[in-house]
Amino acid sequence: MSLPDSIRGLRVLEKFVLSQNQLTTLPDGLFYCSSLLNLNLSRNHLSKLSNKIGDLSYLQELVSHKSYLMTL
Amino acid sequence: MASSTRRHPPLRPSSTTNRTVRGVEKRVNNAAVSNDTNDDEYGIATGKQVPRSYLLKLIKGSRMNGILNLASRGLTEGNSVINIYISELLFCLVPGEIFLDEVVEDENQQRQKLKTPDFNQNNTETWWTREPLKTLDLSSNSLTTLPKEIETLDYLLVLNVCFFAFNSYLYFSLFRFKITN
Repeated sequence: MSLPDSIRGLRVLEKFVLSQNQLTTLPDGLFYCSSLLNLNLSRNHLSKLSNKIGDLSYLQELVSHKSYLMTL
Repeated sequence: MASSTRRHPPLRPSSTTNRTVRGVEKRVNNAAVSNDTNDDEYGIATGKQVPRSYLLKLIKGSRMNGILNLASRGLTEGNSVINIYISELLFCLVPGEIFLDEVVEDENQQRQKLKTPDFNQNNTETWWTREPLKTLDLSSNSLTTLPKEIETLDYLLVLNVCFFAFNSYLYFSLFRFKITN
């Protein structure tokens, strides 16, 4: 699946479940969802996680099991 | 939770909405509540595609509690669902004659200038009692993308797109697994 960049407009989004989607990269827009507390990326095909994950300063829970992450 | 409430965009200055929005937030948190009454009709196991009329019914239900659960509804294109929702939203939730005419900074001034809506209507569903969409569950459907208009859902707190490219074979394997255990 692909996500539109406009998800950056979801400024109050607190929980985003993206699991089981065969995602290989995360869209930039995701890192603008600055209210995210809980992000579920499990069972995707991500090989690395962008540094921009640090922009999600309120993030409390990141679920990424079986997402083929090799580096952080 | 107090901090996250602070981060929400300013609510409309109309008195009643503010109060209801806060009240319902609690319900949103503790509930995987399905807002439709007859789940069996287009149930999870059937994977049957949901007709537009049924979607409209679900959307109408979501205005009561801000939760739209469309998990496993056999949806094939995301655009239709969300676009139906958004067009409903634009036409009904924010009636132009009340909110768009006046852009005034001072809340008190605005209140005076607003045209008075007809509060004597007997409709149970009125625009000022509607909840903005806060929880959208589109999981386990055959969708490949989200429409870009998703950004107009300003109050969305929870978005579930788990298992978007729904694979029926895998699903039924899991289903059998569940039964045998």
